[in-house]
Amino acid sequence: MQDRLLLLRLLRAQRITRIWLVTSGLLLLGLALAGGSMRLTQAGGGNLVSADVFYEVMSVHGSGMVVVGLMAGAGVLWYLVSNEVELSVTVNRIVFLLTLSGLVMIVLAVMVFGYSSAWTFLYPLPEHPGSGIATAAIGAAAYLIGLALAVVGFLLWCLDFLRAGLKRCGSLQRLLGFYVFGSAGHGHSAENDPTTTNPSLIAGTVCAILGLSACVIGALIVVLMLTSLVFPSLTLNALVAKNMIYFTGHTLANLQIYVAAGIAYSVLPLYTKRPWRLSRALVAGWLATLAIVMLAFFHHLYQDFAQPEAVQWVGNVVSYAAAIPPMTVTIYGGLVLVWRSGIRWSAAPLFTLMAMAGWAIGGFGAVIDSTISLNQFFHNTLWVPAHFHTYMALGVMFFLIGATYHVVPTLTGRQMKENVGRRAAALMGFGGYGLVLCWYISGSMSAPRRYLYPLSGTEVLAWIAVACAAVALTGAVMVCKDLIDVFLASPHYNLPELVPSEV
Amino acid sequence: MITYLALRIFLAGALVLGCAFIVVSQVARRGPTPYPEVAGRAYRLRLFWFFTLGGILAAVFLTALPYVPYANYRLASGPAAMHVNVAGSQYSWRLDGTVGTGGKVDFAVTSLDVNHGFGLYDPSGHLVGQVQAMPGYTNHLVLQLSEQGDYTVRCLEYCGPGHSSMFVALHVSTCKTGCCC
Repeated sequence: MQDRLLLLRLLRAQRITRIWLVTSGLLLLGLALAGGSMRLTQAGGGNLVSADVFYEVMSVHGSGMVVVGLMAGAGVLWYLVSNEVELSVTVNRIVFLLTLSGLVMIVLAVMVFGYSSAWTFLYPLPEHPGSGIATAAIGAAAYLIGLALAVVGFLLWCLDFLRAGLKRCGSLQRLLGFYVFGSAGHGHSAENDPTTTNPSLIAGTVCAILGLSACVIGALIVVLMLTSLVFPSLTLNALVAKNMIYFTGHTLANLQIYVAAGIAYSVLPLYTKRPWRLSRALVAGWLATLAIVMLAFFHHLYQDFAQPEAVQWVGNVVSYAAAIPPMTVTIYGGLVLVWRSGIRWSAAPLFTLMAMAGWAIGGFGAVIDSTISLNQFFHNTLWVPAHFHTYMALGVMFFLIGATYHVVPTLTGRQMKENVGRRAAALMGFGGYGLVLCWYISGSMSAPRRYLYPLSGTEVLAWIAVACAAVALTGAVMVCKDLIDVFLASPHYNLPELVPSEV
Repeated sequence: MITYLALRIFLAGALVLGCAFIVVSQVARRGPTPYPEVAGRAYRLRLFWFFTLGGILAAVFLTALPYVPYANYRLASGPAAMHVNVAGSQYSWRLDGTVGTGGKVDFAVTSLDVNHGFGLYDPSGHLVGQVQAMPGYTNHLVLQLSEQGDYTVRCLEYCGPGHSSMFVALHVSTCKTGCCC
C-alpha cells in the first residue's frame, strides 16, 4: 500500500515537473526572442517600432525573465530534492498556477492596456507612465496584480520548502547545517542519519528564507502602490519606495543564481561520481550569503545621493563580499569536483560548467559596477545589462539547460540528443559572450541602457550584438525543439525510472 | 578614461577565468583520481585563495575610496563656485544657472514628476558624472568640468517611452563664473 502511495506521488511529481519544464522552456525562449527583437530595434535606430511598443516589449522581457527564471529553477530544484524531503505536489501545482496567472496578467497589462513602466516599476512611474495611453492606469494595476500573484506563488514555494526541510531535519539550525561546526566536525561523518541536511537543501533553505523576506516586502510595496493608484492623494516617499522595490527586485533576481547553485549541487556529483559533501566552508558560505543578499541591493541606489551615506558604504562592502562565497565555495567546489574525475562532458555537466564560468565572469563585471566611484560612470549604462546577462543568460539559463538534460531522461525514459546539446552549447556560448562583450564595450563608452537607439560611436557594436544574439538564439531554439520532441515522443510518465538518487 | 581602464581589467580577468575553466575541463577528462587525494590538496589551497581574493577586494575598495562622488567629499576640498538648479520632467530638463571650467559646479538636481537620471556627457560623448533626479528630493552632484564646449544632459533612469529623447545641450565656457545654459 505504501509502495503504491509512493509511486502515485512520484507520478504526480513527474507530471508537474514535466509541465514546469515545457512551459518554462517555451516561455524563456519566447522572452529571449523578445529580447533579441529589442536589440534589433535598437540597432535599427528605433525606426522599426514605436517607442511605446519597444518599452512594452522591454517590460515583458524584464518582468518575464525574472519571474520565469526564478520559478523554473525553483521547479527543477523541487523535483531534484523531492526524494529527500516531502515537498507537497499540491502546493507545487498551486505555485505553477499562480506563476502562470501572474505572467498572463503581466502580458495582458502590457499588450492590452499598454503598461510600459519596466520590471522595476519605480514609484511613481506606473501612475505617471508618460505614454499618453488612456488605459495606462488599468495597465499599471493589472501589472502590479500580476506581479503579486507570481510573488505569492514563490512565497508558497518558500513556505513549503521550509516546512518539508524542517520536517526532515527537526530544526532550522540543523537544516542549515550548523552541526558541522560542532565536535562531530564535517557532515559526512553522519551521512546515514536521515535528519542530516545536504548542500542542495541548504541552498534551497537559504533561498526560501531570502524569498520569504523579499515576497513580504514586495507584497507590501505592491499593495501601497495599488492603493496610491486608486487614491492618488496618497503619495509615497519615492526613496523609501525605491528601497523597497530594489530589496524585492534585486533579491528575487539574485535568487535565480542561488537556486541554480542548489541544482548544481544535485546534478554535478552524479556525473563526476564524487559526492558534494557538506563542509564548514560550505555552511559558512551559505550563512554569509543569507546576510549578503539581504543588504546587497543598496548598490542599486548609489546615485540616490539622498540615501544615508553609511548605507552606500554597506552596499559597496557587501557587494564585494558577495563574490567570496561563490568563488571559494560553490564555483571552486564545482571545479574541484570535476578535477581529474574522468568525467565525460555530456550536455548536462557541460552546461553546468559553462554556467559556473558565466557566474564567475559576470560576477567580476558586477564587482566592478558595485564600486561606488566606478558606478558613477557605469550606472544605467550598457555595462549593467552586460554583467547581469553574463550571469543570468550565460549562468542561470545554462544551469537550467544542464539540469533539463539531466532530468528529462528520468521523466520520459528518453535522452535528449547529446550532439544537439553540444552544438547548442557552442552556439549559445559563442553568441552569448559576443553579445555581452558588445555591451561591456558600449558601457565603457557611456552608452545608456534602455535606449531606443545606439549612442553615436556604438552603432557598429549594436549590429554585432544583434548578430551574436541571433547565433545564441539559434542554440536556444535547438534545445527547445529537442525538449519538445522528446516530450511529444515519450509516454505520459516514466514508471521504471526513479528521481535522481541522493547525493 | 577610467571606464576604459575598468574594461581592460575586466577583459583581462574574464580571459584568465575563461582559460582556467578551459584548463579544468581538459584536466577533468583525466582520471579518475581518488577524490580524497584531490579534495585534500584543493581545500588546503582554498584557504590561500580565500585570503588572496579577500585581500584583492579590500585593496580595490581602499584604492577607490577617495573617488566617491558624494558631495560632502567633493566639497571638502573647496566650495562650489557655480550653482545650477536642475529639474527633470517627462521628457525635458530645466537648467537654471551658469557653468564654466574655472571651478567646481554644484548641480542641485530634482524631479517634478517621476524618477529621472541626470547624466552629464562631455563634448566627446563620455559620461562625466550622474545623479538621480527624484521627486521630493534634491541631490547635489559636484563636478569640476575641465573641458569647454557643448555638453549634453541625458536621462539615465527609465522614465517612460520618451526616455531616449530626454536630453538637452549645456554649453560650458572657459569663464570662471560660467555663461548662460
